[in-house]
Amino acid sequence: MTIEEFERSLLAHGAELARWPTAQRAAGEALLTQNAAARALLAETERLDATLAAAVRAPAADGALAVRILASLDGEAAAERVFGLGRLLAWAGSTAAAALVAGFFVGQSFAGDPAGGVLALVTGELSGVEGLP
Amino acid sequence: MDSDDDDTLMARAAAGDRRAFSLLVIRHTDRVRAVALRFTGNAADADDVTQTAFLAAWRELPHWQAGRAKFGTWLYRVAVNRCIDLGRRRRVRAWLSLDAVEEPADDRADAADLAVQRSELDAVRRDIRALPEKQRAALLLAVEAEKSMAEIADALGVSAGAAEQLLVRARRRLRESLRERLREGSVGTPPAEGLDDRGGAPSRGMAGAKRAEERR
Repeated sequence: MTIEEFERSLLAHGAELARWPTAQRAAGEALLTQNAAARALLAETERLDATLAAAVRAPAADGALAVRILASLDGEAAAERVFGLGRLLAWAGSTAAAALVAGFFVGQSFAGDPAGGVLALVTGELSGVEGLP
Repeated sequence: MDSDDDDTLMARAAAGDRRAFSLLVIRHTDRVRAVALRFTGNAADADDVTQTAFLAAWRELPHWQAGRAKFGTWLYRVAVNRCIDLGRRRRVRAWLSLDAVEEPADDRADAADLAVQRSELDAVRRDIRALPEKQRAALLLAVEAEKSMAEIADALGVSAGAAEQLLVRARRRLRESLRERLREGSVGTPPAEGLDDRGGAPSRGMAGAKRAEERR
């Protein structure tokens, strides 16, 4: 492993060699025993890692956010139930409305001769119904 | 059940076990928020990202297929995408002068801040927020979420090689900033240039590394 390869592995995986891929770790450990520049880079990366770890660590949480999230999921579940019921009602309503509209037009179509019209539809004797081909 | 792994809990949640999903929320909330906080630099956005990620997971439950994706990776993918989305919206709003350009920082101090000089931490956090989005995400997933290279790649939707490149670039930029501050003396107790803390000989590694970096 060259010093450039060692440096790249440090930047990719950090200073904790235990987290490196096995082959790279073995080569890196071998380089460290014989190369002062590698040891200096490792020391510098250890410092960088420690600073990064401290910088990204969030303040201790009190669990309040998790509680809020769980409460919002309860709300979501309730909304889903309402939404599901709403969809069912909407479907039922639209079906009923469609039936009413269809009934109205059928009624209008055969208003002149309701008995004959319906009978013609049932028996297939459409030629007797006025206005139909 | 508390010791079950994430994917087992997710499978149980998908089967209707609400407590299993609650455990996932409790287990991951702090770390997802920490990643989001350092990505966005804004506490309200971090809360929004965390909540959005779990809401997405909740809505995904009916479609969840065990083994198709790891829950932890999937959750961070959603969170990172939300972070990026919020950042872009903020930039648009700033450009339209609807928001202040400078985002309010989360300035609550904690024990970690006592261990490392506060000003140095602030400087590093600014450096992290200045990284390009994907480099920032890769770094935070590695450092805070302790994800492996493969998991980072999966969360970001890139190859393992690309994820490694993102981390190399991110750490190199942060290292350069740290070196700069050390030179300026704004960071306490710098290590002796070229001398490792195990008593190694003066090194040509820094200059050589810098030259190699400039070549790339």
